[in-house]
Amino acid sequence: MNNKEFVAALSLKENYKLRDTRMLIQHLLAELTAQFEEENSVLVPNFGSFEVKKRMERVINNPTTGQRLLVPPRLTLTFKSSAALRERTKEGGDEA
Amino acid sequence: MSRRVLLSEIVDGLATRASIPNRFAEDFVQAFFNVIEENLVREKLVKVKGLGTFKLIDVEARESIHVSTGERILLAGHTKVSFTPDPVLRDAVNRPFADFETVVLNEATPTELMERIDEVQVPEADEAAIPEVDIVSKVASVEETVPDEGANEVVEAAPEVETTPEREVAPEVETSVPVEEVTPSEVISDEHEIVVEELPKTEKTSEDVETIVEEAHVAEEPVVEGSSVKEETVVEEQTAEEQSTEDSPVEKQATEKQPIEEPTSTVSADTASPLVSTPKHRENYYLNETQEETHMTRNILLGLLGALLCMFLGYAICFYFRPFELPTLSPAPQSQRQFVPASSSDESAIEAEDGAKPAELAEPAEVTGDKAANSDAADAASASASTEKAVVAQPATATSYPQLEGGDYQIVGVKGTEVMKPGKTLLNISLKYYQSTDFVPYICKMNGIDNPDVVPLDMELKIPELKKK
Repeated sequence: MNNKEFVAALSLKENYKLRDTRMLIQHLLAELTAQFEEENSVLVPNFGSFEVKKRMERVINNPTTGQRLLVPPRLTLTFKSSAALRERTKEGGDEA
Repeated sequence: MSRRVLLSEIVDGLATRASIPNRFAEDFVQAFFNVIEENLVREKLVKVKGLGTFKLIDVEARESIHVSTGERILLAGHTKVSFTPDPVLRDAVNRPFADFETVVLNEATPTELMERIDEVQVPEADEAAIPEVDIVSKVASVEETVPDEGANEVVEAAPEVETTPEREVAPEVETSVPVEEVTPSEVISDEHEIVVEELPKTEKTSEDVETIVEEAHVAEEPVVEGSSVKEETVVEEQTAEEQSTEDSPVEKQATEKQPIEEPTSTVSADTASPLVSTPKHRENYYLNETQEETHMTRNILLGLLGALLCMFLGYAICFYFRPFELPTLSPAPQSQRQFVPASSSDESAIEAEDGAKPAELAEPAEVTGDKAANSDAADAASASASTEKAVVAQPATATSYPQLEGGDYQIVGVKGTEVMKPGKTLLNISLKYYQSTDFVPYICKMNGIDNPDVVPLDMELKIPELKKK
């Protein structure tokens, strides 16, 4: 499912116009991004949690060229699915 | 910064941003994640622009080993939800570290060096040398100091009561005594100057007594404050005690370098009115050190004694067993060497004694037991000879010939001399004089030959006169 289908499905479910839905999604993501930029973790009940984690710098080897690269530290957004979501996706996965 | 945010907070934020009622916003957020979940279950992949991609990934069952028990266990297969943030969101999150870039490292770059922390070493001995100069100059105004070779003496002056004499670098000066001298303080200044004399001396002889005067400022002390000339003795004792108590860690260091001698009062004579105090613990230490020294020397002496005893015992044992082995071993090795050219002349004095030879010859022959038949005749001869010899032999034994330990015979005199020539062996000589080869050890003993196989040419052998014990 791509973004267009997602917006359509959401607008259909909430009985919003597509344009309104896009706008609301935009606002919601702006809010989430603002939280993530402050390195806050967001808990979504029955869905999961988004968390910003710091990856330390590390040295990696390129096995083909033998180059050694120093990867700088970075902040990444991670998502951990809740137990309920895992249970449901498991069932759904079995069905599919 | 990093804190946990519940969904309600997001809902509030959305409501304010979109300026919609809170419940609509909450409804929308719930629907948002519900749609994601539903479509995730259905299609296993949901892309949300600006957020990221949710994906269902099947994880196959696999075997693993239990960490603690070591038994193999089967991990059940499951599906996991993977989330890959949208590049826009990813960059936004990573904004604080956006300036960093991946760097290609040279091959020679040692990665270990990056983590190494530089070690900072603080030289301790050098520090003390600098304050010392200042101290001496200060003290010079108050008192005269006589530092002979004191430049190398390291004394640290603490601004407080502490006096820390540190160990000397120079090896000769092993000990140093700080002796406190309390000058009567000025009542106004409330400060007492403690002059520490250092009397280092060498271990063996106390020839050179180096003196260093160190000044330490004593912090205000109620007892010392009102000190007059009468109370000086009391003050001095108390300060000494305080020093020993307060500066106990420091003082221990100082007492370790206690000298054996008592401090000479050369400097104190120079000073205006100093009081020399020697705390008790120093004397105790003095005792300890001397005890240690005596222990050391005693141990060394004991070791030496033991070694000497071992040597002596070994020598005695060797000496004891040697003569018994020789007769049995003798025939084989003896025939080889000892070839002596004919040269020297016999001694006339010994020749004279040879007159008694025939009688004496019978005596050893009888003992060997080889000629039992002759024993009766020999007995008669030896009986007459022995009486005759007794007179002659008595003074001879007095001159103490070397005796063979454990032997049946006793060397009582010199029967004759033989000069070693080619063809002559100790066995031959023994046969010639005693009619037996068993007497080689006696000849060896008489002439101090250690190894009967090696007798130098032209050596003049004294043939011992033997007497049965």
